[in-house]
Amino acid sequence: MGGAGMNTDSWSDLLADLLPGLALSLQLTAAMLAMGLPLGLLMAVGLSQKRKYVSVPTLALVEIGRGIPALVLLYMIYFGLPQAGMSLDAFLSAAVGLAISFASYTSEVFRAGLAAVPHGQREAGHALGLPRTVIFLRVLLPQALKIIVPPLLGWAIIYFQATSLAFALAVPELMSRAYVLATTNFQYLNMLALAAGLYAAISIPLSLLSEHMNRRGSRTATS
Amino acid sequence: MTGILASFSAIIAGLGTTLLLAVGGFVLGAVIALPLAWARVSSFPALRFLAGGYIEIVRGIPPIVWLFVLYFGLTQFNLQLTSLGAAVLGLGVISSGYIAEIYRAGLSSVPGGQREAAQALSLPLTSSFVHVTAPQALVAVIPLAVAYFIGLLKDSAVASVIGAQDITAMALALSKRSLDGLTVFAIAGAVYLIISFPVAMFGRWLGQKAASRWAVRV
Repeated sequence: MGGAGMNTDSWSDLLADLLPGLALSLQLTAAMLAMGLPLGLLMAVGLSQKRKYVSVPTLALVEIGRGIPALVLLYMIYFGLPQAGMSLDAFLSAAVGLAISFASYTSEVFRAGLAAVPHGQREAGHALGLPRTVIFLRVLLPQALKIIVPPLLGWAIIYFQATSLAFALAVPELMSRAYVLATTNFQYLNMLALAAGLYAAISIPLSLLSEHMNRRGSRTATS
Repeated sequence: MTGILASFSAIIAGLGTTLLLAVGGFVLGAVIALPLAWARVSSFPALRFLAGGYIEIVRGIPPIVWLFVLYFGLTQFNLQLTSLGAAVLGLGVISSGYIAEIYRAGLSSVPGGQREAAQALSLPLTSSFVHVTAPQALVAVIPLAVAYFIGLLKDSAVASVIGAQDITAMALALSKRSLDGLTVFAIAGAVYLIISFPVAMFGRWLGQKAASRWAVRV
């Protein structure tokens, strides 16, 4: 035997072939976060409004965004929007679909974080005559961020992995690249295992960091 | 209107497969998670480390990659699973990592005094676990497990990518035949929303039932 290694490329060559895919996955994650983070914050603000005509539709939107599989959202945007006279390319469709899903899940994280800031902080801002937007951006949000960041990092990792769903729209990200290369060199297991390793190499250290931050956060909160 | 009804009945044809994927994956995961959770809280550091490593790896790789490894990757060893088999196995492996953590959360929610009390009454270890620890842990486990199952119902949509004929696959096929993709996928989305409702209700009922039976008020 020993023939297995003969006409196969070395691991480092295979890895080099996959790296452009990883770069695109990271770009997709960045685009998703750029839209999803503000949208999640906006939804959280909408959820915590006393006015029912704001909070109820926001809640409906959040429930829909969480209740529909992310893959179906991607299909809906990519194959559905052209009928509504709009059409996005595959990369943007994936980024928008994932952002909607991400925002729906993280709106609760933002809401809980904002609610955890003591009431007196807002009142003190009012007493100093600060405008409401300044109170929100300079007083409440920075304090809420301390609580929000660890779980948000956890969600960001999950959605970095979810960028692999863009495979279904033929976006040439890491997963697609691994599969397409495998169909030419027939090393399915090697290519897919390498892709899996790349996903894990990014996800696992970050998720350990998120857990570490969570533990440290809860320790300071109780002390 | 008839168009919507026709689309609905075409999409609902995938409901059985979606349920099979979610239930199959969940049951498989719940079984694999038992020894995993046990290893995770074991007093042997090596076992704890191995179980922790398995859980991190399972959760660090996207579901779609798992399914592809099982469906296409194993062909490198001349092993060809059906798309349904690969999907159930993949979802089972993934959910085992998450469910093990749910079991662990359940176990750690039981106050240590309960086990010590059982020991003081000289109950054997197994009956201490079966009659004292496990029922109380279940009270914490049920709501988490139900929430995870609802998530799995939606995550099972990725199985359509390797050819499982579930709700999403039906919708995708229909969208290619009909012109109205927006309606087709909105219906598919609605089906997922609708089926999670009774599961959530059942979960709440089960959770309350378990709590009223087994929860210990301290």
